[in-house]
Amino acid sequence: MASMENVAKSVRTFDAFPKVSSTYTTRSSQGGVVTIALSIICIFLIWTEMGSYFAGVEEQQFMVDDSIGWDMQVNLDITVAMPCVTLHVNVQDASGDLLLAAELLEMEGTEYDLATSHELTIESRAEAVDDLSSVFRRAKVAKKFKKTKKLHPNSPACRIYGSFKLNKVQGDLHITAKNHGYLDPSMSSVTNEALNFSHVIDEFSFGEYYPKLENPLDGVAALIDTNLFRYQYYLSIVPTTYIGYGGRRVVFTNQYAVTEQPTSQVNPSRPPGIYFKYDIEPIGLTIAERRVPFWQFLVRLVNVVGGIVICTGWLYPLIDSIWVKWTNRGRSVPHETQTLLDKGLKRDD
Amino acid sequence: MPPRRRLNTFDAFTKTVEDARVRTTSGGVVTIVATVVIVLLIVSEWSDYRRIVNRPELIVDKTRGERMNINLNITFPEIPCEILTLDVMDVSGEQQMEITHGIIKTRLNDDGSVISTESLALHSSGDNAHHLDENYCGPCYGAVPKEGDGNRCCNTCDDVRNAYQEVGWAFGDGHGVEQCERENYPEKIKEMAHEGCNIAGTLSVNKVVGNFHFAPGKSFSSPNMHLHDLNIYETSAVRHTFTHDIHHLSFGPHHHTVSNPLDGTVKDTDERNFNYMYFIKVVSTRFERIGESPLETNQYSVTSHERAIRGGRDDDHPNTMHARGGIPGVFFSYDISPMKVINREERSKSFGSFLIGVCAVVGGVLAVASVIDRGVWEADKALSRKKAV
Repeated sequence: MASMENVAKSVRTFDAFPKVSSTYTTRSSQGGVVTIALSIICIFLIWTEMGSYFAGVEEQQFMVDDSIGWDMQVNLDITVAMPCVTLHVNVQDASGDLLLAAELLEMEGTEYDLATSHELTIESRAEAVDDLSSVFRRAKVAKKFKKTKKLHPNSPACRIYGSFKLNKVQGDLHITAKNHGYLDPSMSSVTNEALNFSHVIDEFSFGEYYPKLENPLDGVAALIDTNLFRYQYYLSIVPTTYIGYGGRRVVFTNQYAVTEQPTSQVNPSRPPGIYFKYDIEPIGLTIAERRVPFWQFLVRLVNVVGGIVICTGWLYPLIDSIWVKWTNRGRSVPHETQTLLDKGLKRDD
Repeated sequence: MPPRRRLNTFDAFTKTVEDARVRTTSGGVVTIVATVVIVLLIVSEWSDYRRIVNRPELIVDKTRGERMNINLNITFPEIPCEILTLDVMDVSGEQQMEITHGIIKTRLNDDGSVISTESLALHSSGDNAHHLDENYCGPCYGAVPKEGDGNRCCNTCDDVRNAYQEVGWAFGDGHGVEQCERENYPEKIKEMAHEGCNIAGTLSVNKVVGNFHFAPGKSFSSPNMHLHDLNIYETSAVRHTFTHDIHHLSFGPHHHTVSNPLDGTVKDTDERNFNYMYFIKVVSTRFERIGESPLETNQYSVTSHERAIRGGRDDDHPNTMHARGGIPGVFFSYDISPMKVINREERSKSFGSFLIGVCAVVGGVLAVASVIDRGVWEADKALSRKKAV
């Protein structure tokens, strides 16, 4: 027991914090109010610090893809106001390949319905800006597309949907009418009067199919009242990777910017139809969630609390003494012995 | 009040008289813990200060009129150097055909061993027809490129080949051409048929959209087309193919953090008429590293594509109609991105902010510790008073 006593005694000599024996201190109600206010401010600031720590920061990096690319998935769901039998869907790209996309896509007759769609506007593109947490919430892979409502085999419109892989080079996906553009062995002639390239895009995305991620072309409709019409979309694709905190969740996808160009003058070498011309940007975007290290967070907490305590420790006597000087002008009250805030003081002993 | 006294009133660090101070064991413990915490935090503050962070930046590339070096090292095990040509073309209209500058061709045996290395001058002018009569004027076999150039002489096999090339005729292996048979050109070609070829070196090109390609036979260009003489490649008894092994392909100077995606790519084919295409997008990059001078180089992303010349559908791509035609070869078509990446390394903190950090750590920890200490002391007092009562 005696040794314990000794250790305690020697530790005592380290005490660097001057505690003034209560005989020499005074307490005041004003001081108490200040202390409570101080604690509230401290708790509030700690709370905000913790909030910003757990929310993390989004960090953007630009990367040039260092793997050899081959192909890229495209997901589309477009309804065109023409019967399916009259349509071609093909992809032609810089490698010279012609991808017969119609063989890979589902084409089902349906009714042409504009209810849920809107035209490509500035606002709709601005909406497509997502923050990381909402991306993670919505990035759920789907293998299948929604079933076609109002399925008719001989209906006036055609819903073209599905996912397929195309070469990862600049290219052109287009929906054209049979007998316009491509030579058709079946010679099924579609007259100019039968052409109507009004369309609704429900989904147009590259990469894994995440139905709930917003793309600039999702929900876009175009109403066309001319038969010979060429509707072109120019897409610039930016490969994008979202990385959650500590790599917990990684979403590879592609964002794109789009401009549209509707033209009603169609010359024979530029057949009417809906064209999606896409190009892939070499610089990919990586958006990663990052948190400051825990020790840094700790330092910030300590700084906040320490700063507040010290500031009030200085400001309180200062304001106090100024107040005393202001109110007792003329009277010479020694500052050391009595202050206004200590009037009516209650000795604590 | 004397000036000293007046100054005293500004003293923010009021000191307690030693007699009035109380030292407690709990205070000692808190002090020791606080000191340890301060040391730890200062150490991490220091490591944070020493830490190097990478701050990438994306800007629009505003340099102009630049040239770019393409460094390459590619082996073709099934084509002899003799019939392999490397051409560069770009949208500025510049064409570098059958490049010889800065490129070394190495003839390889069947097993990959080196036969001989030469800079890309295909026919050494050493074995010129110096032994021939001074007045000798060999026929050009009707290959007369320009009007009024009728009495042109083709004294060597090479002259005849060049004349053929200029008018756009296929030349073949030189059978029945007097000059070539004299130089044993057909035999040479036959002997070489089993060889492979390695091409290594540096090309200097304009920094605009363009392509470079390896294709068989001499090439010749007219304003709207670019052709290769495929005669030997196609008729040779030994099957040549464009099986290739890219040891290295980079744009601009080497930097150890740039990984070149095509390095180490091996492509194997049995088909003579096969076409490989690499679509390359070049992104200018500047590396600014601490302790190194900034380095301007390029990174690239690449998409690979291959098809048989006959076109149509193949087993791998049942829904794709490949383009028909073209020539066998390996094509690299490159495009320049308008954006430039700056990879900048920085200390995450300046020395000043490190000092500020240290002060904040010390001050903050001490302040918090004194609050804790005070709290413990008050609680202790309250408890002991209760006991006493």
